[in-house]
Amino acid sequence: MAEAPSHITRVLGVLAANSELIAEAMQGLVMLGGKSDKGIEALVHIHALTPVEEDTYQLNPRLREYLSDHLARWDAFSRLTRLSSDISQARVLWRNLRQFTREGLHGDVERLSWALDATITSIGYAMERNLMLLNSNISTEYGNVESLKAKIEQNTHYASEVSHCLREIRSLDEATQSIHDEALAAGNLAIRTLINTRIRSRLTTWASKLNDIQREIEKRLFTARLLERRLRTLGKVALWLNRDRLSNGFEVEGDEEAAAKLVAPAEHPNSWNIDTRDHDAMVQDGLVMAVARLPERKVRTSMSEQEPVLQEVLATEQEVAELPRDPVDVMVEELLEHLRRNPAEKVSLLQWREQALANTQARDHSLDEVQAVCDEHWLLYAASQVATAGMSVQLTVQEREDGLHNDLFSDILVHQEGALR
Amino acid sequence: MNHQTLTALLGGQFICPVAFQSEYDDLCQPGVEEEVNNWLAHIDRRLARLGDSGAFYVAPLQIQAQHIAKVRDDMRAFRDVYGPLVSMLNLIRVAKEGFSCAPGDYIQLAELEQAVNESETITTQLRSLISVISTAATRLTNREVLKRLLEHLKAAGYLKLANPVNETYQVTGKVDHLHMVLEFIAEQEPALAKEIQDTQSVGGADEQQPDLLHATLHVGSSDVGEVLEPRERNDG
Repeated sequence: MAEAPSHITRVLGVLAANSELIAEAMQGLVMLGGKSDKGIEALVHIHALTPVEEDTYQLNPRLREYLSDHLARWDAFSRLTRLSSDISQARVLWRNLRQFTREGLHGDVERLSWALDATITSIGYAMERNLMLLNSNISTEYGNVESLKAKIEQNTHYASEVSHCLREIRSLDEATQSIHDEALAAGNLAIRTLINTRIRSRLTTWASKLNDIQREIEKRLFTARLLERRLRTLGKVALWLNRDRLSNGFEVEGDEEAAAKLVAPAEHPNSWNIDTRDHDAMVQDGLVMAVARLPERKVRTSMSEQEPVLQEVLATEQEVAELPRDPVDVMVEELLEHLRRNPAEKVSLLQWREQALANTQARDHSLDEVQAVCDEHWLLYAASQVATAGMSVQLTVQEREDGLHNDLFSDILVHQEGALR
Repeated sequence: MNHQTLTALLGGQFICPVAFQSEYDDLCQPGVEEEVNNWLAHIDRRLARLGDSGAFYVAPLQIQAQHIAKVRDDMRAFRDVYGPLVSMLNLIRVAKEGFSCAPGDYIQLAELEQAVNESETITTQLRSLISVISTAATRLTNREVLKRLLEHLKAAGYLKLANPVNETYQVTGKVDHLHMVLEFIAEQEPALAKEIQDTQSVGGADEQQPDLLHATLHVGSSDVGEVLEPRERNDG
């Protein structure tokens, strides 16, 4: 039965007149015994306030729900609106509507059509409200609770609620499909259009949004559990630090995999030097500024002549080490001296050596060295030394034998150059 | 890639959106991560990341004996190397309701001070940390000690001063590395692992939750019937 418009207007007028009282009732209970008694009575009369105890009233839950939905403020662990009762209601209304249509009860058919329309609208509103509630909670990260544990519990609660809602949508899909088909068969295009536009065209969107929310909840639940585990570990390690004060650390088996995860980044040595040959204006300016910061160079104002420092030379005597001379060289020196004293004499090198050995009385180590030198070596060496000193060298050549091409000599005669002409 | 990103990486920093916003955005550009990785390979380094969305940092290209030895030495000297940081973060966890010790978390000095002043236990815990907090002293007030505690964590790279006016700090991505170290310790140290397992088994409902990491995710499609495929879930 449709309400008279004046009655509805009167109800809304009472609500408007007592808006502050209604806002107060949203926060908690209201009690008689103050200035608002008349307003409380008026609101109780239209059932906007319901009694709790003697002289104590609270806001009608339906009105509170409407205002909470409008303000997007929900209590923690709020339940999603269930669709099952509205779905059952829709089935009942449609069944009776079909029967009354067959029986020709047009007045009742019209009333049931309105009721079915309201039920369908209620289902649509409930779904939108559920999606708003879920999105609000997720976007504020369950801002209606503070502790991590409460957030995790809410996350779990709404994961369950979303699952239930998805099952209800399946049930709604079946119910509306059935009504749609029967309405089509019965030729009731109005009901068919109602079902299609208000429910069936939005079912896919609702289900898709619920699935997105479900994924988000699962991701947050995993993250929240990870955070909870981390906090627990942090607490336990801190407790160990406090309790086990004698231990400095842990003996752990470190391997490559662990080191790859745990090794902290070290600062890489990184320094640079100025390139003084860089003609870039910025570098040049920087160099000029750096030079300007250097201390001033001390400039010598006067130069005085310095007197030459007399250097005292101290002469010292050094012992001249006489190197031991080779006895063969000594023999050659004596020969040269003899030749100079006796320029007209020709001396045989072999005879000179024999004579020198025979005249020496002391047989020391040097004479052994001279005797060790063979005739050929003595002749060649002495002849070259004497010739170098400017003496004349004459080989005593033997008569050449047949078949031989070399001249053999047995001795060498030496005399002063130019003395025997 | 820009030179600031490379300089920060070579400086041993953890590049996260909190501490190094522009450098982090640079590394998230397509192709930049690979470019930086190739550049670092020339100096025997690689670009590593804490998790899939965590901070970037430079790691050795190949783990050598010296790195393994460093980790082992750090674990042996855990009390000196990580102990002060763990104790300080635990104090904040106890004092601040809802603190998750995750990158991006905010910590306000005034809020901490209030919690400390209202609880004798937390005050005692704070005072016991004076010896490990840099520049702290017993003559300082609770607020001053807390300030130095937060500055100590900031100097270590775990916090960033988000709002100097109301002295609010924000947790950086470097904290994920500390969590990794603690998890490693918890796995390796039998006493700690047992305590954590015992605590987990107390909450029975937790064990009934499915393995969410491997839960099949349903993707919406245009057909309502396919979209509404039933999912296995415990609603208890």
